[in-house]
Amino acid sequence: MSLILENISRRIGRDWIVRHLQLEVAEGECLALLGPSGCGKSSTLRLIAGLDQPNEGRIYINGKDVTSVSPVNRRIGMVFQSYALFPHLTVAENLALGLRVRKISANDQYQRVASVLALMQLEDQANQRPAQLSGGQRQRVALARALLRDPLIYLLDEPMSNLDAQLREDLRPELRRLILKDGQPVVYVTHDQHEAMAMAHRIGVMRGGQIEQVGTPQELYHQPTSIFVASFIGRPQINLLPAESGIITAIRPEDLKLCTQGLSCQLIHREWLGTSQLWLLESSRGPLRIITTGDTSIPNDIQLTWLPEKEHKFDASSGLRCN
Amino acid sequence: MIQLLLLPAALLIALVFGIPLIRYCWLSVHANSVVTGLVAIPNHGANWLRLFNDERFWQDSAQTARFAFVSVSLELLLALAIALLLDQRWRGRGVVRAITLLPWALPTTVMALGWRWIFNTPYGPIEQLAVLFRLPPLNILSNPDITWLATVVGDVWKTTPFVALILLAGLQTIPNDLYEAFYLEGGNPRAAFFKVTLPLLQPYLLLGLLFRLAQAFGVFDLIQVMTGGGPASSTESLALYAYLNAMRFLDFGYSATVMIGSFLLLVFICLFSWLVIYQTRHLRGVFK
Amino acid sequence: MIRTRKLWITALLLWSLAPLLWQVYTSFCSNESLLHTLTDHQSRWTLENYRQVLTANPPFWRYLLNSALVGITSTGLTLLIAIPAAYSLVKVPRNVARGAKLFLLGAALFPYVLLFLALLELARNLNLGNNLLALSFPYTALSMPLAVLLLSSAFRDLPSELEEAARVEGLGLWQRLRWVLIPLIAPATASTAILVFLFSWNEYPIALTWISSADLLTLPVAIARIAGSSVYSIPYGAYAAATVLGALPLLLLVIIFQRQIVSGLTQGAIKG
Repeated sequence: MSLILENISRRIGRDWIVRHLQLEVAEGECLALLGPSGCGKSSTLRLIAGLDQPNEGRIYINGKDVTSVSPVNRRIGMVFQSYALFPHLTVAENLALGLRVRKISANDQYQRVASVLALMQLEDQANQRPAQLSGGQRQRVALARALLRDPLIYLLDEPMSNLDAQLREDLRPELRRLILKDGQPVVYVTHDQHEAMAMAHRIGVMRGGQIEQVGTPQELYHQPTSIFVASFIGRPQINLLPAESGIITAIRPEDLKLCTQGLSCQLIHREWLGTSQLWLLESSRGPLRIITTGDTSIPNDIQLTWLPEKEHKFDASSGLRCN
Repeated sequence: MIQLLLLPAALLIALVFGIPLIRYCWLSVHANSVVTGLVAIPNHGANWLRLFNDERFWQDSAQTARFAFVSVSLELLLALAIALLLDQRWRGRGVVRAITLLPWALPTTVMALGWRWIFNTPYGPIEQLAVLFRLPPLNILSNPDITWLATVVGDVWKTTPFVALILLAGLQTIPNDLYEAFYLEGGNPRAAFFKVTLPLLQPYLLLGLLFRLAQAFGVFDLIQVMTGGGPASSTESLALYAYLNAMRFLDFGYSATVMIGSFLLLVFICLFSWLVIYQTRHLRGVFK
Repeated sequence: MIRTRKLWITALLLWSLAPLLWQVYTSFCSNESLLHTLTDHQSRWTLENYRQVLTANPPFWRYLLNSALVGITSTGLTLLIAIPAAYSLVKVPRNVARGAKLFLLGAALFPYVLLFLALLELARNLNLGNNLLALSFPYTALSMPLAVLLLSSAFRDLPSELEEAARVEGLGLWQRLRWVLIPLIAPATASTAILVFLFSWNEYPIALTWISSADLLTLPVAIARIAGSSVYSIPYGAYAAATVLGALPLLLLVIIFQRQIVSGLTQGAIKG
C-alpha cells in the first residue's frame, strides 16, 4: 500500500494553490503536512481525496492512477477538521449512512457499526446526536466513520484543532495506534509542529503551495534546508544573527551557553517555565533567545558562547542552507 | 452539469417575467383594441404620443407617487417604533409579535372590504365617532380630497409588520456591547439611537424602503376593492388605470404602453430616491 | 419606563387588532342593528350572516378549498424547482452567482401586477383560464425569485465539509440532497413554504383575470366580487362574516408558524 503524488499543481485563476508537488507515503507510514495557514496543506489533502481536481500531475494509490477517479471510488478514510458529522442523524445513523448507500445488507450494516462502536468505546452514545457529544467523542465518531470505510489511505485534516490542549495530548497515542494498525499510509495535516512531531514518521513543511523540506522530525530540526524551516520548527524560535558577507547564521536557543568571556548581553525579559527558563537578551549582534535550566540564576554580567558545529548557515538572498 | 438544475427556475422566470415585458414593448407600438377588432396594427408610436398627452395618466402617476411616498414613509417610521419595542425583552413578546404579524398575512382584498365598512358613511365606526364628537359627516370615501388618506391607512396597516420584521432583524444584528461601550463613553440612550442604532440599521432601512416603494407603486388590490379608484378617479393608481384600459376599455395596445410607462417611472423614482439618499449621506460626511 | 412601554404595547395591539375585531363584531350583528344604531339588544346579535355566507351558492368554504388547493400545489411546485436551483446557485462560480442574485432580487422587487395582461394572453393562448391547477404555474414562477434567494442562502450557510464528508462516504448528488442537505435546510424550507403559501393564498390580480367561473374563484377574488356585486345596498354583515371566515385559516397559520415566518423573512431579506 502506498500513495504517490507526482508533480501535482492546482491553480485558481492566476494563483497557485499547490505547485509542482512531489510526495510519497509508504505503507504503514504517517506523513504530516505542516505549515502556516494558507500554505496549501489542506488543499493538497483535498486533491488526494479527490474533492478537488489538480490542473496537472498524477496521483497514485497502491500503484493505480486515481487522478480522475471520484472521491467515492478512491476509498479514502477522511477525518475533517470540524468532523463533519451529520447533525440530524444519530451516531449510529452517521456511521451507517455510507454503508447504506453502498448497498450493504442491513444485517451487515448492523454488525459493522456495532463492532466499530465497540472498538471506539462509543456504545453508550450510539443513539445520541452529535450535538450531545463531547469534543473527544465527536472525534472518535469521525474516526469510526473513516475506519468503517475500510480505506486504502487515511487523510486527517487538523483532527485535533477543535480539542483543548490537555485532551489533545491525551488522545495522541490512541489516535496514532488506530490509524496505523492496519498499515495504510496516513497523511496528517496540521499547523501545530508539536503534534506533527508527535504523530508523524516524516514531516513535509509546506510554504506557498510547495514542499519546502520533507524528512524525519530529527532531520528537520537538526538539518533544516532553509531559513523558513529552521524558524518554523522548534520553539522558542531559532536565533537569526544578522548577515555577514551574505551569510545568515542561525543558532538554536538551547545551543547558547553562559560563559565568562564571550558575547556580552543585557537581559530584556525573563520567563520562568519550571524545568527551564527563557531569557530574551539584547546583544551587539541583535536580540537573542536562550533556554537555560530552571535553577540557573541570572549572572551580573551575561556572556554567551556556542559551539561552531551548532551553527546553521544560510545564504541571505536565497534563504537556503550552505553548510 | 450542476448548472442544469438552475434551468427550470430560470425558464419559469424568463417565461413569466421576460416574455411579458417583451410582449408589452411590442404591443405598445401597435393599436390593438375593440376599434381594430382586437387585431394588432402597427401605429408608429401613437400610443406613446397619447401617453405623453394623457392627463389621466399623469394625474394617476402623481397620485400613485403621493400614495407610495406617504405610506412608505409612515410605514418606515411606525415599523421602526414597533421594531424597537419588539427588540426589548418583556413577557408575552412572542404573542404580541404574532398579533403584529396578522395584518400582513391577511389577503389584501379581505381587509380592503373591511376598511370600506369601517370608513362607511354614515354607518361605519369612524363616522359614528364623528357624530359622538358632534363633527359634521366626514364622507371619507366620497370626498376626493381625503379618500386617498383612507387608502394610505389601509396600506400602512397591512404592510407595516413586514417592514417591522426586516428592521427587527437588523436590530438583532447589532451587538449589545456596542451600546455598552457607547454608554461607558458617556452617551445617553437618545444619542445611542442616533449614533449607533440608525447608522447600523441603514442597510435594513434601505432594503425596506426599496421593497416597499416598488410594491406601493404597483398598488392594485387595495385600491380596486376599497375605492375602485374613486371618487372621481382621485385614488386611481397606475396599475388600476392599466387594468381598466385592458379589461374595461379593451384597449390592449394602450394598456401595455401604460404598464411600460409605469415601470419606467418606478425605475426612475427608485434611482432618484437612491441618489437622494446617497447624496445626503455624502453631504453628511462633508459636514462631520 | 415600564409604564410607557405598556402603553406602547397596548397601542400596538389596538392598532393591529381593532379593525379585525370590528369585523368580528359586525359579523354577529343583524343588518337592521347596523343601520339603525339604537335598536334593542334582542334583535342585535345573530348568526344569520354566517348562515347566509355558508349556504350561498357556491358556499363560502368552497373558496377556502380553492385557495388551499392553489396554495398547496404552488408551494409544492415552487419547492420542487427552487431547491435544486438554490443548491446549484451555491456551486456556480462566484461572479455568476452574484449576477444571478442581483437579477433575482430585481425580479422579487418587481411589482408583478404589471404582468397581468401578458399573463392573461398566455392563459388564453394556452387555454389555461378557469383552471385552478394552471393558476399555480404563474404563482410558482412569481414566487421563484424569493424562494431561490432564501433557500440558496440556507445552502450557503451549511458548512461545506458536511457535503464533502458525504461525497467521501460515497453519496451521489441526489443522495446527498436527499439524506444530508435537504434535511439540514428544513427550517429555511419551512419558512419559504409558508411565504409562498401566503402569497398564493392572497394573490389577487392574476386570479381575478384567469378565473371567471363562480365555483372556481379563490378567496381574495370571491371577497372582492361580493364587494363589486352590489354597490348601493352592500350587505356589510355578510361581508364581515366572509372576512372573518377568510381570515381564520391565516390566523391559525400565523400563530402556528410565526417563528418560521419571522426567521424566513429576516434571513432572506438581507442575505439574499
